[in-house]
Amino acid sequence: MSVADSDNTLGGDVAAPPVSDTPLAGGYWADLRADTPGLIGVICLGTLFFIAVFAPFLAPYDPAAQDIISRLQPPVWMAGGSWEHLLGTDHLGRDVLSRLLHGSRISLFVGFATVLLAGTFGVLLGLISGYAGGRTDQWITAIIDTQVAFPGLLLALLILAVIGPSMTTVIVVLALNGWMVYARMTRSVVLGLRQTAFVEAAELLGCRTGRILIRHLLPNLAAPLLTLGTLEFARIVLAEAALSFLGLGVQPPATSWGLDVAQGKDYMFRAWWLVTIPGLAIAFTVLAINLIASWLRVTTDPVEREKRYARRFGAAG
Amino acid sequence: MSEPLLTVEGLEVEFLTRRGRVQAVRNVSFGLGPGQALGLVGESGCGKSVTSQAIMGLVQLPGRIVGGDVRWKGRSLIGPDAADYRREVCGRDIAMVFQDPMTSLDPLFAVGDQIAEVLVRHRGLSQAAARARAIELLDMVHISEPQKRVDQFPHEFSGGMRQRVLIAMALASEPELLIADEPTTALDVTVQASLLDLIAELQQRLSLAVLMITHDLGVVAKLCRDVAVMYAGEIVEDGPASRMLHTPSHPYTAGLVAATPTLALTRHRLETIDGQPPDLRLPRTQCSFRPRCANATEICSVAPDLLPLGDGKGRLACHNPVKTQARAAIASDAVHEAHTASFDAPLLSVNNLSVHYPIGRHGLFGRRDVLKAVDDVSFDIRPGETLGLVGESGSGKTTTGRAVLRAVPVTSGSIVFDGQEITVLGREPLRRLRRDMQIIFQDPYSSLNPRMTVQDIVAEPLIVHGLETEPGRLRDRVAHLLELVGLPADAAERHPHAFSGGQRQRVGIARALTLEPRFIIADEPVSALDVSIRAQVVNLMQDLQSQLGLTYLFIAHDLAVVRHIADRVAIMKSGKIIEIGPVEDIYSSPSQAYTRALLEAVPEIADNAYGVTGSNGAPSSLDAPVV
Amino acid sequence: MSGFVINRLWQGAIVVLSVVVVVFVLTRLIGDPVRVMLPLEATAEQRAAFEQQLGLDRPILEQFVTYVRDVAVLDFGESLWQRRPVFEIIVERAPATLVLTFTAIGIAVALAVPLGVIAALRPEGLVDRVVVVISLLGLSIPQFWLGLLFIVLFSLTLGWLPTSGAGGLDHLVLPALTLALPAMTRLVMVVRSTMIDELNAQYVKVLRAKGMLPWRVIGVHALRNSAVPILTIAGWELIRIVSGYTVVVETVFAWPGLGLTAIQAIERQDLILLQAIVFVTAILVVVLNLILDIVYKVIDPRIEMSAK
Repeated sequence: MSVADSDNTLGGDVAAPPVSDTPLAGGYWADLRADTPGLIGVICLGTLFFIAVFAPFLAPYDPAAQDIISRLQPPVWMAGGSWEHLLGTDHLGRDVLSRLLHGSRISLFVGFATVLLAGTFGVLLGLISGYAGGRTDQWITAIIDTQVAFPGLLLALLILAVIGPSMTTVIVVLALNGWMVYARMTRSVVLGLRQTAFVEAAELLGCRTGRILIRHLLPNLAAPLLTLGTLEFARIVLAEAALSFLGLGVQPPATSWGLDVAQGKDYMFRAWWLVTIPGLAIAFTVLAINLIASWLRVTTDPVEREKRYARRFGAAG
Repeated sequence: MSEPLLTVEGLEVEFLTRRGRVQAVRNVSFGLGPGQALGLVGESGCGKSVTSQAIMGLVQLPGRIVGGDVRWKGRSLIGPDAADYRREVCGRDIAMVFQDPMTSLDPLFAVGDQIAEVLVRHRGLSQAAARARAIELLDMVHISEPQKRVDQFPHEFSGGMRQRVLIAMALASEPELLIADEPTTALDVTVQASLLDLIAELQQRLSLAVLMITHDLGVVAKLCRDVAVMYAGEIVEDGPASRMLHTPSHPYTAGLVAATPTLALTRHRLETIDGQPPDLRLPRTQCSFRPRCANATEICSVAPDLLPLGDGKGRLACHNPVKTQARAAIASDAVHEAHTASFDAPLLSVNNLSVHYPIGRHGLFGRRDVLKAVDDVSFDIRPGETLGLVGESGSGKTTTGRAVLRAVPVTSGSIVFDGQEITVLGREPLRRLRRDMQIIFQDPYSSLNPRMTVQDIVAEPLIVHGLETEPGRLRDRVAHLLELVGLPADAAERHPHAFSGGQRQRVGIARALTLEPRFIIADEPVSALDVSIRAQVVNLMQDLQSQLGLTYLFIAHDLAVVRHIADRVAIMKSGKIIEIGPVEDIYSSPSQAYTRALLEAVPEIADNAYGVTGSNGAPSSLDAPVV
Repeated sequence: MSGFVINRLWQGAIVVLSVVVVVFVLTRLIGDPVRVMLPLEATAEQRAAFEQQLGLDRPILEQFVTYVRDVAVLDFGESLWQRRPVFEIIVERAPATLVLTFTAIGIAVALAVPLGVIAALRPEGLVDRVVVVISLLGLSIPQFWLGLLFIVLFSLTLGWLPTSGAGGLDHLVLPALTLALPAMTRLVMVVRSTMIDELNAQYVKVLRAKGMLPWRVIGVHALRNSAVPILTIAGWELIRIVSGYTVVVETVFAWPGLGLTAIQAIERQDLILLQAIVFVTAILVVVLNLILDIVYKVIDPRIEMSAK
């Protein structure tokens, strides 16, 4: 009996194109370079991180320093603008650029902390629920279903009103509102994987539960969770901005883009840049994250990758 | 000679993938006349299904037709200009039945409406008239109570029934050609037999032309007068079934015929075709079959053309055809040694085993219904023996295997393995038992973790049982196991995706052997594989059995394969073993009507409806080269 | 069918009850309502009197029983800010929120379905790419900022529409669009991907092989099969709007609905009014979920079967 002379996987039925569970051939980086929007997203988010980390060194002024004399100055490219304040000043004469740079810290930190907190809790419950099954699964599912049916943002408002707004409260409130998606996804992926023969094989080989969870289930969960976490990150950045805009998020003298939009609202007609600039910053950040998420979604799913390739090719030719 | 209805000429179809263009169909030409039945045969990936889709205009991105033409009564069906003509012809003159009846019907529309819309579209019938006709059609395909069934939704029908509905739908507007793409592959063997009978009956009654796409030479023998064999996107040989199935000329056709297991022979070593089909992304520079061909010579580095054989025997693309070789000639040699002896104590003894599942209840306090998946089953397996466990889907054969492994809860009964009652074992003793009892899975794709290398997969049992942890020795053990199952040493470093189905199944066998078990449950281990690959794996399992003294419980739905590998066979139906005994006895003189029905339902090459010699001189449009 | 509805009603009741418990725990155990609601300079006597008025001096279990009893008959107490029964305020403000919500979801669905279907016909084609880019932008723009941009553009610069408040239809346009656009962008992606999947399904292949005309394949078969996933997401969007997004948009446009009232209640430290709004919203969400579940069943015969 001879061994196959080629290792092609195309012996399979060609009518359904031969997409398999191929891990990325050249790694994520090679794939990223082929995907312009994804690359732009990664570069933008990288820059934002750099800014967030080094904001105190990059910002020309203290973001909280008031200067009533030079209040409501327009940005440099407009009549009346000056090189002193590149993006102008607000109603208290604070430098808009400095506030913008410092604001990135809040957005990214809240986003990260919330995703980490909600993700850890949700994935843990989802793993337990999906793997243990039976009563445990029924209870956890019931809790998830009940909480999903809660009026989320309003309940968050109530918590913030009772406990008092701060960055920590914002993170906790958003995590409380967001863990269910991770739990649901983890549970459904685990349930699906439990049906697969390779997990059954591991059980019948005598693998213990811990090994099955860590060696066989988690690696196959990584890709969908990464995509979900990125999408949630974008959503959290928007939610933090909204809460701060409502005055229930970060409190002055701390800076947040949402807060800046709220404060600029009253000067909208006289000083449009006070609303426009921090708003653009939020949109820009969220767009960068969303670009990364949509790249990840396609790139970690071999079926999606194959489809995208064929469509591009078909659309081009 | 009849004028062809359908002409396929130089058809080329390619698929765009990230790793290159797959040339799925290469220069395929054939014609089909009125009332003619042609079987288009080949293994998966040979392009037979794509060819049928190209005829119906169903090739969509990532696939596209890049050359050739398909004509219906002389007018082209290919390309955007032909779209209107194609939509008119398809469904009216040409109808198609697909492989998967479970997904082929729109789940949200009553089956009657789905039949009626064909009549409204192509025959201009009113809704009421179309509905009345739909009821007649359901009756024609032998669906009982058609007045009631016509308003039901697809999920209220079984797989076989849905395929009948789809046939009724296909025949609604009285087409002249029926294309059937593996119409019975997803169904049980008895259902398959009744559907094949139905197609044969309708073909006679309506004088339909049939293009039957299948991998199963038995199906072809039953239905088709003419056969075309495809390999690597090309037709390599065609001609009357009477010649093709008995004295094939192309080495590949001959290999396929020889590798197809048959009910007539016991423990006969199957002929195999070594290797695998070529990579269709590469340009064709030599005969596609050359790397696997025993007859290959230097001349085969030039790809042969498909040339007529003359005197109505069809066409052939081969430089070194097989000399006339009757199937019976192979049968004489190499009968595998049967394990007769064995009055030994059984290795496994299953007594009155039952596995019941609760399935809802009647009312709030009512009696709980149970599904008796396995119902009072008893059998013994002696050391070194192979017991074949055969049944149709839902018969409980897989659950029985899982229960023996204690992978599903046992409701009652006893399982004694090597003198030890295992239904009472706790967690740790059960883990130790895994070293003696292993399993080979059906699906070679889902049974290997895509994120692990072959090394990790094969070595895992040793690690989890703490038998070996030193990396160097682990590597040696894996290398030895890979050699044993006929995989190259460098396979260890790769991930499962780098392998074909047959190779993955070898990895699965290596993993099952790692712990040196005495007993292996093989759960349909070859039913997902192509005929030529299937023969390789069956032979491997037999070799390993004699080398290592293994004992098998071989679960299958395919009676022919079981006949080749098993010493004794048990037939299961509705959770019970209805008949058990030595293979020869059961196959030659079954005592149960159900067993007889199962055996009769298997389509066999030997049953060729059109005779062996081709002496009936049936006219065949293949006689004339197209173009 | 009735068994299914009863089952869903049970689930709804559990949700409402959980909200009652969570709100009670939040306001009475974790937070100190007296500290939140009374000004800092309040005297000890004033605090004691206030506690007695709200029944906060009673044992905690008794407080809970009283609380649940009052909520059960929709007696939420009297608003500190407006000095009149909370229920009255809610009845007065709720219609504005409902009008805004349903207008917004109507606009979102009406735009998303045709756009998504057209995009799905040629994935990666020109229309599809434009739709994908627009929806990515839509997903990334903060809603409150979008509202402010609309005001700057359509009210302050062009002067076409009023900046804020309620009134005629012209007052509804901007807040409804602001609510609708992000929902629309999410919805259009779902319509697109569901339709792409359906158009690749085996039964569509069979329909093509039957020679069915494209409008029937796409508009009748594929769209009907996409209806459940599309409605599911549309339902989620509706519930998202009801359960929070209106707060932001009503604040931006000073639209006198429940969301704006909630923010005003927070500003006026009126916990009694705020928690009542949370309850009413919870009940609304439960009712909407129930209606959506029934709608799915009507569309898909298979769901009916599995519920039996």
